[in-house]
Amino acid sequence: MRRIVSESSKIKIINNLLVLVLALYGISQKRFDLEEMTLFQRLVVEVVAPVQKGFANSRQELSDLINNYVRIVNTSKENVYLKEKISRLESDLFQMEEIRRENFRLKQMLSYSEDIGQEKILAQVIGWDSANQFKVLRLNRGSNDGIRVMSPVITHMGLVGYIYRVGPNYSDVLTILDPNNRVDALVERTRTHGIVEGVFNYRCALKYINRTESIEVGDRLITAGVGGIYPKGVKVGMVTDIDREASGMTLGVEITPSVDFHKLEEVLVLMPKVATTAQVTTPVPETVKGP
Amino acid sequence: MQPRFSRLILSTLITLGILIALEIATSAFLPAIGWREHRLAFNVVIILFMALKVTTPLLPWFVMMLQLMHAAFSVEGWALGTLVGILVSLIASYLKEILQFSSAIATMVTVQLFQLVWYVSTAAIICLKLGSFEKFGMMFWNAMPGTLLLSLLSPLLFKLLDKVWNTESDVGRSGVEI
Repeated sequence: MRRIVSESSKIKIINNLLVLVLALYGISQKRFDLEEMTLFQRLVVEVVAPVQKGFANSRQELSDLINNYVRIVNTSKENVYLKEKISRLESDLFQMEEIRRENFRLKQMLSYSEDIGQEKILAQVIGWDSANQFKVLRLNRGSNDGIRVMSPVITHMGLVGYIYRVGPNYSDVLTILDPNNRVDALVERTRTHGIVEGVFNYRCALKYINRTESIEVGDRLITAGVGGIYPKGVKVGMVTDIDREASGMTLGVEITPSVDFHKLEEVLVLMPKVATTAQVTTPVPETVKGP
Repeated sequence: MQPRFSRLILSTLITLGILIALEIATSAFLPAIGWREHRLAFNVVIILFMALKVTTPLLPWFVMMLQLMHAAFSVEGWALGTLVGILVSLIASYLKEILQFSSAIATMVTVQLFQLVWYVSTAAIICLKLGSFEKFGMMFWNAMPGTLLLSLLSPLLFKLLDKVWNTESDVGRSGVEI
């Protein structure tokens, strides 16, 4: 019996050690700022992302379902018919309103995209990262649509992030809310450089700002255009709090992103610029693909 | 008792299916209905169930398999959760004699305590990897609301997984040799 137990313990120890070594190797290779999808991940994402997309597309229906449920919980039997009718009409109205809002958003996005001298792809947000530590969202566009890693992602409201990893039909965006994403930014009024980092709770921090800088609450931040990922001049956010009491040589500056990540539904992925010579000889037409 | 190999495979496949459904719920369904502040890390609770209630030499491989699936839904990747999962299962193996799952509250408290260990370890490893402990507190506290909700849901999830792994007859005692 003792021999059986010790044999079992040996197998347990060997298994634990093997997987621990694999995991440690995996962690040592892990990058939190960029990643290539493995074949297995691509396969799983290709299978599950359409389901995620389905939920994202039926956002209004789900919302109506919950609203309708809450609305009819306390109704009496006599009123069921009338309530249902009202509910149906309201649902139609909601849908009309949703279409109107979507139309408005897409128009804004289209008019904004015309101002950018770069090819871009319109994509829909279909999911969020399932871990709390990371602020990543999934788009319904991938390498088959021309999306590449490190492509900047924006909306008409401002900067969203960049493409962290890409599959054939889906891609993941590391948003500016994520602590692993650092954006070189400029304070629009004073032209002061700083680094914007995510700090959770849908806020960011502007770092490395000298205490002598005259930054004020309400100052707007734009991308500085250095670093090779983001184009210059995209809105990043607004200064909402300054901690001048913080110890050290720099200020503690809180930033509220320009983009409302709670309501983010469509984004623009900017494509890498084509070579200058190619642009001179054959201008690339601006194209915007629908979500 | 030696398990039938086919039973083991079936339980694993069903558990992976449950994980996929729950990951879709937390990454797409809940955000679609307006829940975007906190994510519910169901992979953590499923691994905790395996660590606390299933005793098998293959446990580390199960943990890795679950994390590989989780990596398709999160940039966290498979390695971090696998490492922490094995650490937690080692701790659980030493505490098995004193852990009880006789009531829902006992399950909730145990799951909450192990989730705290999980998130302290995860935040510490990420900070070590990034070379700065500046965001350690934030990473940890940011996960807390989700862990509380998961602990409340854990008796239900454990009941479901008990059926899948055939550990339901073992009420009150943790660790079933399979």
